Parts: sequence; structure tokens; C-alpha cells
Amino acid sequence: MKISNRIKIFSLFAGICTVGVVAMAFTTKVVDNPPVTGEVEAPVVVKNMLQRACYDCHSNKTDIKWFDKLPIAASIVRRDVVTARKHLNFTEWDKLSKGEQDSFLWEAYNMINAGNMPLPEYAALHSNAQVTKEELAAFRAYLETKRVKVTNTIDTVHTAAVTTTNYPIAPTGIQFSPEFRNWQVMSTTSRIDNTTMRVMYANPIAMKAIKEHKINPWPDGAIVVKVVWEKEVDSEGNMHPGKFLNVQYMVRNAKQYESTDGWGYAKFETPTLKPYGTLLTAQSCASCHKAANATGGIFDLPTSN
Amino acid sequence: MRFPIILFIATMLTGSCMQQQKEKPAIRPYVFNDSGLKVITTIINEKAGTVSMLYGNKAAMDYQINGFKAHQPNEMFQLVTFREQDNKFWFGSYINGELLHVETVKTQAAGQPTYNVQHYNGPTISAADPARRTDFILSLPPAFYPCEPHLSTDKL
Ligand code: HEC
Ligand code: HEC
Repeated sequence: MKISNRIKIFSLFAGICTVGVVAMAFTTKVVDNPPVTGEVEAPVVVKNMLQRACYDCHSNKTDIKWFDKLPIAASIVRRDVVTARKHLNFTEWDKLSKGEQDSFLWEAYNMINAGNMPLPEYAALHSNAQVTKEELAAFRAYLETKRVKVTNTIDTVHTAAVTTTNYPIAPTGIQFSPEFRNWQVMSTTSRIDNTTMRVMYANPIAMKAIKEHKINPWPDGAIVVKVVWEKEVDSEGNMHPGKFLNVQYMVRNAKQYESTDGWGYAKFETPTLKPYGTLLTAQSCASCHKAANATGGIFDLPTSN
Repeated sequence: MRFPIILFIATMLTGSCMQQQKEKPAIRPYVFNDSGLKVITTIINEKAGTVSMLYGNKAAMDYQINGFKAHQPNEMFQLVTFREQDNKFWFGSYINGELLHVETVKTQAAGQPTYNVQHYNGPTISAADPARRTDFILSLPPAFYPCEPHLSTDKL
């Protein structure tokens, strides 16, 4: 056999293989679409936006494009969709409580507003996934109708404070300590998406970082503690901290807490300071705090612009 | 969905030039210095659009924690009032903004507590108000904190 013939046969064979592989790749199911159990409810403009910009990942109505089926793409797409659905699924909406539904809507707005969702790499390729200014405004107006009103009057009887020094430890290894009471107040906030008010304390390392504008990223050792209460309203309409809910920690250690963007998370609930959640909880804390990436993961900084 | 690496690189190369520069947030300077005072409580006045932090020295904290019995001399209270503003990073949250004024009340061995106010921004509090403001400040109930560091060591 002549060399050229061999090459011809080889090329033909290679060609058949390539076609076969590509065809297989294109027909492979990237993800299944399980049944829709209940869809998110929102005004038409908002719902259309969610369907167009979010449903490919956050629903059981994923619409796979041809380029999503390419061999490397397919596995990335699958991973994104599986993760996204686990976090938030607009077509299994009925599985959430009313309160959870509302808090996901506020979070969705803030994720879009921060430019985190839809995932930027996705939005770059799927040009119709961009959320317009008008849609964002409509979403905001819709949320305004969901403002929560405070009705609790001042009547909370406080149980005794913790008197032990054997303070609880969270799954992330962070231990509660009353030391934050000596730190500077970083800020105080009042929420309208729920009925809570908060005071944030920053340890000296964190405070120094704020003053020197060195918060991208924050230095190791920075700690921010947040104390959360239900609001109570007095006869003159002033709001006071009522029922104590929890204390939350963010502890900076870029290496130790790499999987949660360099912050260790902890939450201690009720006056007995019961550690809340598991290591997985910290992942969900970190997911939402991505919306504050402009300030290194910390939301509550009073800005002047 | 993400997409093939090559396409990704191509998009980054063409897209990066067009991407807007992210606005760098300007953080308000921290004007109030607590000088070691501790937080007693926080009060939100939605009508006025303000939020105030009440601070106290140890004597003031003791008065509060002991259930408002008798004043001792040298209690110092400071009510620090800020304008509330939208939290830039979370729609649904209001945060303390511009510092408006700091009111200070000090108790004395005898007679009325002293009152003074330092203005930073915003409208001034009328001079006729000191007695009413003093009563208001001294009547504010403490917020519940799950731990009172100085209480557990000094009082129990
Ligand atoms: C290309 C896929 C993709 C698209 C499109 C997308 N998301 Fe996501 N989304 C994800 C992934 C993946 C996560 C999980 C991120 C993580 O691991 O932290 C996520 C997380 C979220 C979260 C956090 C949920 C939680 O656990 O707290 C919210 C909120 C969210 N997305 C909203 C949206 C909204 C609103 C849209 C449409 C405007 C959108 N997403 C479009 C992939 C996507
Ligand atoms: C749904 C979104 C979301 C989730 C989930 C979340 N946070 Fe936050 N967190 C926020 C927002 C928004 C703020 C600031 C607004 C406020 O406090 O009023 C905040 C503020 C904080 C602060 C004060 C520092 C800062 O960023 O301003 C701490 C500490 C904190 N969170 C800890 C936690 C911990 C611990 C968890 C998990 C148990 C958690 N967060 C989960 C949204 C979230």
C-alpha cells in the first residue's frame, strides 16, 4: 500500500470518529427538566424578566442552546444548573414558605443590582439575558409593596443574659465572645424586608482597614459582629430593639476560610446563644454576601455617594 | 450557562474593554468618637428619618441595668443622632448616614443633670428643649444584649 493511501484511509477513519463524537455530544442530555411544581408569582414584567434571564439555571425549564452542548461546556452548564437549582428554584416555588419566597425575591433584586446575577459569563453569551433598567425599576416597585410593617409594641420581657464564660462555638470554629461590646460601632441598620434592626461592631483591625480604605480584600484578623433584634414601636412611633434574635460573626482569614470567600461565618441564636446551622450554612451565608463584593463582602458601610 | 474556554477567552478579550469601571464606594468618615463609652440602645425615628445610638459610661450602664432606681453622680449619657439613608449595597435596608448631632447628659451630686448638644449637620435642636430632651434620654430602656461584660465581672 502506498503511503498516500494509508493517509487517506486513516483520515477517513479519523473523520468518522470525529463526526461520531460530536454527534454524541450534541445529543447527550446536559440536564433533565424535572416537573414544575409551582411557579414564582410576580407582575408580568418581573416574571418575564426572571423567565428570560434566570430560568435557564434557576428553574426546571432549562433551555439548552447548541453551544451549551459542546463537550467542555456541557459539564460546566450541568454544574451551574444543578448548583443554581439547589440554591433557588423559581419553578418549585411552592416548596418555600411565604417568608422564604419574599426573602428570595429581595435577594434576587439585590443580586441583579450588584451585577452578580445572571452569572456575568452567561450574560455575555446570552445577550437577551441582560436585565434592563426598566425591569429592575419594576422589580423594585413590586418589592416596595412588600415592605413589612412593625406592629409589635414595647412589651418584651427579657430573659436573663448569659452569665457563663464558657461561650458556645459555631461549626466553623468561631467562638462567641462578649468582647465586641468594647469595639467601635461600624453602623446600625433598619430593615424593611423584615422587621429587624441591627447594630454592627468592628474590631480594631477592621476599623483601621475601613479608615485606611483597605477593604478589597479585608486584612486577616478583621472581625465584624452584628447583633439583631425585632423592632418594637412605642406610643410616639419610635422604634426600639425588642426581642433579641441573634449575634452573627464574620471573621477574616483568607486562607482558612477560602471556600467562603475568605470570611468565616457564625450565628448564635436566642439569649442562650445556640450555634446555628452546619458548615453548609456558611456556604449560604457566603453566597448572599457575594452581593457585597464591591466592599469585600461587607454590606453595612455608610457611604457618602 | 457558561461556555467553552475559547469562547470565554474571546469574550473576555472583547468584552473587558467595554466593561464599565466599577464605581468605588466612598465610605463616610467616622466623626463620632465613643471614647470608651458603651452602647445602651438604638432608637429609630421613622418620621424624622433619623437613627440614634445611646451610649453611656459605666455609671450610666449601672443605672440602666439596675432598673432605673436612683441616679449616681457622674453618669454620662450621649445620644448620637444620624440621618438614615438607603443602604447602597442592599435595597431593603436603611443605614445610619450623616451625623446630625450629639447630645450629652451628665448627672451631678445635687440638682438637675446638665445637658448640652453639639451640632454637626442638619437642623438645630431648639434651646428651649433641654429639660424635655434630658427626660427623654434618661428614660430610654436599654437594649437586651446576651452578655454584659462588665456586669458579669463586677456585679454578680
Ligand atoms: C448561568 C446560570 C445562572 C443564571 C442564568 C442565574 N443564576 Fe443565580 N445562581 C447561579 C449559581 C451557580 C448560584 C450559586 C452561587 C454560589 O454557589 O454561591 C446562583 C445563586 C443565586 C442566588 C443566591 C441564592 C442563595 O443561595 O442565597 C440568587 C438570589 C440568584 N442566583 C438569583 C438569580 C437571578 C435573579 C437570576 C436572573 C436575573 C439568576 N440568578 C441567573 C447560576 C445562575
Ligand atoms: C439573603 C442574604 C444573606 C444571607 C443568606 C446572609 N446574610 Fe449576612 N447580611 C446580609 C445583608 C443584606 C446584610 C446587611 C444589611 C443589614 O444588616 O441590614 C448582612 C450583614 C451581615 C453582617 C454584618 C456585616 C456586613 O456585611 O454588613 C454579618 C456579620 C453577617 N451578615 C453574617 C451573616 C451570617 C453568619 C450568615 C449565615 C448564617 C449570613 N450573614 C447570611 C445578607 C445576608
